[in-house]
Amino acid sequence: MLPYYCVLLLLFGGGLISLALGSRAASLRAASFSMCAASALGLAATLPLLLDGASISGALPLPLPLGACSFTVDPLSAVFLLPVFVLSGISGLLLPSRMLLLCQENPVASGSAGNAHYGKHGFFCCVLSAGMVLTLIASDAVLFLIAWEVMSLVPFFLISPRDKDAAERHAAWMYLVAAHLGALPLLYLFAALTTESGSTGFFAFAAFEGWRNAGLLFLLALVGFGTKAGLVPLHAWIPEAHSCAPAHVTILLSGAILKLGLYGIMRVLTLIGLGDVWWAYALMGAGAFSGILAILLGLVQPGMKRTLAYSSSENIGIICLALGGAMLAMHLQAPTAAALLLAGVFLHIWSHAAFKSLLFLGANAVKDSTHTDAFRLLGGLQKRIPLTGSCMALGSAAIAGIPPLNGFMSELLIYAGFAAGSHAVHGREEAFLFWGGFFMLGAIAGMALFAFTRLFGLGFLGAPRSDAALEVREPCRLMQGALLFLAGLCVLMSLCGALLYTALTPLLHSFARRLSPAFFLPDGALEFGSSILLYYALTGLAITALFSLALLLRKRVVAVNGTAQSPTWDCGYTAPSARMQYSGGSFSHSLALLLRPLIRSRITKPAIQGLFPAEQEARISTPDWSALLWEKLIFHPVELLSDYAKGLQAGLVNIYILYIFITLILALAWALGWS
Amino acid sequence: MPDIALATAALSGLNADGLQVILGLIVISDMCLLAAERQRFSIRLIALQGAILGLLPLLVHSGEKDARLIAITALFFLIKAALLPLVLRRTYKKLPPQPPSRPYLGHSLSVLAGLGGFVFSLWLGSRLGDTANPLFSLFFAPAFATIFAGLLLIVARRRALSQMFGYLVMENGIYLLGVPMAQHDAIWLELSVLLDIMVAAFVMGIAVRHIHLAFHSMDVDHFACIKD
Repeated sequence: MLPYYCVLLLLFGGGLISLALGSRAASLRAASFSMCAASALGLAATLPLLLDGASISGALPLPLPLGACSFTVDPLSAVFLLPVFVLSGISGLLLPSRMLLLCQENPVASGSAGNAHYGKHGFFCCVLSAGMVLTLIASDAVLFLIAWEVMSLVPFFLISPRDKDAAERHAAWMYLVAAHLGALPLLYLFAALTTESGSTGFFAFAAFEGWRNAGLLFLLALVGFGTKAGLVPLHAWIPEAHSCAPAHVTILLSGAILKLGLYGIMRVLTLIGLGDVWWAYALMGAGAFSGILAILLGLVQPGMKRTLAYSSSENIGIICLALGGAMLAMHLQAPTAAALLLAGVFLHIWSHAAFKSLLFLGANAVKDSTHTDAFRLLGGLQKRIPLTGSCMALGSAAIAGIPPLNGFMSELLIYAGFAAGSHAVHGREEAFLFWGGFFMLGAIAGMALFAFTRLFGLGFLGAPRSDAALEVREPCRLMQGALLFLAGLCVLMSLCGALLYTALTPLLHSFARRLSPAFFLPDGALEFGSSILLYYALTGLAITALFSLALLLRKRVVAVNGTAQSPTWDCGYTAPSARMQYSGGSFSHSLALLLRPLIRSRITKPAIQGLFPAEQEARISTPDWSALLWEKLIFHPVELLSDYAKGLQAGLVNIYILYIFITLILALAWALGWS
Repeated sequence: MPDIALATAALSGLNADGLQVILGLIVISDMCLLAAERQRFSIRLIALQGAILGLLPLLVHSGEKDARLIAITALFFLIKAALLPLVLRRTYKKLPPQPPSRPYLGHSLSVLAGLGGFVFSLWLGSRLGDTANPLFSLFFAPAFATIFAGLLLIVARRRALSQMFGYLVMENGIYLLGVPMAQHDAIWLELSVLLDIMVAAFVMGIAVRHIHLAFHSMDVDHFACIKD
């Protein structure tokens, strides 16, 4: 465990040094260095563990009021530690330049007051990384909850580093409320686990059998961790926080923190077991609902970052759908399907961390120079920023599930898993469920393709829609490097799918055994997935070769014939303008109309009257109805109640004593009168 | 209540009628305090109540009156009948003369509420059932009525000094609850409560003066401006 202790020490130490250095730019460098060093060390320690499928445990003699300071890194932790370390490293690398840029941008913050944010920001970045690592290696309920709280609360300070923008502040508050509400079921969950098993250690939980209310525990985990993972309808904080946070924080939020929600669900499953078959249905249902609804809401968003944020919820939905499918397959003793689906789950977690970070970095790079990410102001960026544009194209293709990239690689395993499941239970009712999962995934992937065609098409193709789009510049070298690295990672993952699968094999064995000791994954079941990925990589290579060949041919033809330049949309119009292009609303209009019951777009049509109607405005807006529902059901009543409760605090001692008086009389009357 | 009367006679040095007269006096003084408009009169009433309460342990005690009991009773009497009223009077004198202010709850209504509290206390006492110490049943209703009267004074009065009267009357009620147990060592507990209240009265005497300096008024209304 020594490397992990060093990682935590580096992160906390670096954070404190950054805090001590305060307003100097060196504070950012200190935080950056400690994050990068911790990531490198963490990766070096975690990779061998993952490949061996080994677990290590340790404990520190630190006094906790309850529980113990015990740590374990098992293959499940290792799978999630990898993206956390990689993204922390990238985030740390980008931290100084991003923060300097942010403070230069804002004239109010660029003075001495602006620099004061440096130390705090560096500190919280380090603590966030440390909190994530601690959450993943804690093997004691109390320690886990402490780490979870640290990891949950710290982003509140990071979402709005300048603390100047009202929208950012709103996002930060929304995040805080969601984090607190999400933690509540977890407190109950771990309190129940501790009470029933009589211990706070995860090993004791895992060894305990005969949970009385296992179904309730599972639901608590699903709601509590689902809020962090962003399952619809618990996702309300995601679009706000992800679209407001700076680039280096967003990649941690979307790439790592959401995954910790999934880790929580999986960890609890390993502790309380596979459970009843309805757990699998619930998880599949939650995943399908989340996937469909999130991507539908994503494809009507007005801005790039919000679309990406919703797509995060969608991918978490896909992962939950596949996890539920795997649990169902285990219930039905279909090892091949279970192996494929589980492998798909873990590969998709990695894939999503890679391409979503790539896309967020790209979107932030665009926003840095144009100061907007709204589709109605962008357009034609590809010609101006080819590198960022190409990386975004690659990321969009990957997330939309276009072969040969890594997004489709993991989805292919899930498709194959569902197909194998339905084949294994051929003739039984459950086969429909697997087919249902299969088609749900197909629908989600289809809509994701639509959403990302829209994102890339409206943002990067066509003609610029405003002057802001003309101001776009390539980001700094470091950011370009990060984009290229993540793009490379996506390509590499798709080519090395079989290798990644092999690395995951020990985890698949141990995870399945932990869920259900009676269930065994035979080697034959595992080989199937490996061969699928091998063929996928070979097909990918072939497609890439064909593509390169086509490009070469095109280049040659162009060299022979020459090129002519003309404005976009020049097909027969005398005065083509950028306003003729599809807007965000019009692109998704047909789909929004078709799926109106689910999307609930509000369309304001102009009333055109007379021969010469005055200038009118048409508007399509799509408020997130599930977020509005929460507002209506919980936040609004709570606000009303709080406003009313303010009246109780009159500031008069007399009134306060009157409260005591009334309470005393009621208590006496109750104790003596009705006893 | 013949059984209680018998038991009281057996336990105490005073007959039941005499005790009931004394307790009735205390309740009447509570009502007078609730009705009192002038602070100077209130201080006198508190002194009177304190004098009666101070002597009570001696009157209630059934056995031989030893030196310890007499010393303690003397101490109670000194504090309740002399020291606390003096502190109040001193504070009262230090403040500039002000016309009586309208309380939150009118004087007549306060007396009515006080009577309501007494009826409630009687009902509570009737619900209490038999107690190990029969004197306790006798003392219960007047004691609670006094506590309620004190709380009412705190809640209903506008001036900080009048609220201080409320705290003292409330303490008298708590003390009254403890008197039936005066035979035992519980009296030390009583003494500690009394000392607390005395210190509180000193502190409040100083605080009231400072409040006046800060706000140029003794109306607790003005304190509302320091809430967040």
